[in-house]
Amino acid sequence: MMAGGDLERGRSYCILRGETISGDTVDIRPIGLTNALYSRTWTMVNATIDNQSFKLRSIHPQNEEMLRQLGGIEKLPPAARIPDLLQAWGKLYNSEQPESSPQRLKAIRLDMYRWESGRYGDYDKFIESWRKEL
Amino acid sequence: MHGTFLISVLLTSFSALGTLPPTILRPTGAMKFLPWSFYDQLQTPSGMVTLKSVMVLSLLFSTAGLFSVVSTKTSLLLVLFYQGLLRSFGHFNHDEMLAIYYLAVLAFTPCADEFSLDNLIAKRSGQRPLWAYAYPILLMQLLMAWVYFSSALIKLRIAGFKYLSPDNLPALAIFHSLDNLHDTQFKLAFWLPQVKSYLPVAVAIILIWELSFPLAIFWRRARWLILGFGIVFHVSTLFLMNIFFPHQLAMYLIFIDWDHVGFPRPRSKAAK
Repeated sequence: MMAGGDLERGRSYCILRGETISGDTVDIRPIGLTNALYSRTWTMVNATIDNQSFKLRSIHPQNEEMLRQLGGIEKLPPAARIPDLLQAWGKLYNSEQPESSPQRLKAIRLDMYRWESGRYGDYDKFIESWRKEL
Repeated sequence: MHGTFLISVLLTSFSALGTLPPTILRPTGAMKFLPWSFYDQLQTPSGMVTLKSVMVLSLLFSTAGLFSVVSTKTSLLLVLFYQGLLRSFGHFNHDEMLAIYYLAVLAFTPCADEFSLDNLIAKRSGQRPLWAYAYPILLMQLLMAWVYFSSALIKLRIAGFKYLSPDNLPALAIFHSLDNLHDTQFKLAFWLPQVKSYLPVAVAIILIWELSFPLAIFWRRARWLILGFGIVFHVSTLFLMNIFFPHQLAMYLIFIDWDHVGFPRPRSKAAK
């Protein structure tokens, strides 16, 4: 933010969505699920997509095990821990819905888009999606 | 200051935070020295509820000025740790940083000599010379002034006069308005490109305001103008950029002269 904005630089961003049992797709605001992370959710997601927790000097034993199984960090897919994060958010969302509610989620996903550089428009070029069945 | 964090902690769901996987944590600073087994135990709903309970107890004591010699220090340590944990998930945002510095100042200065339960119980009053009470307030005001002043300096150092480009604010504001991961979903940013020729002037005024913030300490007439502009600025960033600094705004209270709103200044021994 200190460097200011730059129209010539493209930027990626994400939208969290849920697929309900009734078949609807709903936007989910993570701040309503984990309000402790106010002002930080978007950077937590970016860091998780970038696998930054695998690039520490001392990494979590479960991450170490994952790297060992895959054969090194170069073989690690992007967003390796996003499914765990989606699972946690999906569970929290469903815990707030009645057991019989058709608004309960059967899956939760993180859709990534890109705002290409150069002009004020075309804000939502779809890039990829991560989905987690609940 | 303690009350601000007390309200903030009470309104936060720690159990929900405890459901997030510790495998996405990136411990920062001194947090790196704690073993992963500690985070595995803490980063659970029950672990986080325990942390919340301890924090609420400590912050209740320090807010009420009870056992303040100890409680102001435990509150500082607990808030510092909790904020470090949050930043291990996300990034080093500024909002609570100033308030944490304030907790550090209050932990090591006489903040509970008058309006506190400790004083009510011990029935002591104004044990120290006046400067001992004025100095921490001045220090906290200087810290706030430095936050804004250095913010302007770093913007100019990193971006230079490019910071005044017409596309700076619209590009930044629109980026912060595209996702649904920010706390609010205001879309006013998309209106900014229509008025972008005026924005360099607005950004320049903000830079001048930040650079002139130290005047709020020494020039009472300018104080209310500078603080009023600050409130407008922070509310604007909420609507234009979906970024808000509630803790920072609450810290503006340090500029209120409480002698004039019903809380008499402690009388020093010399004054008696």
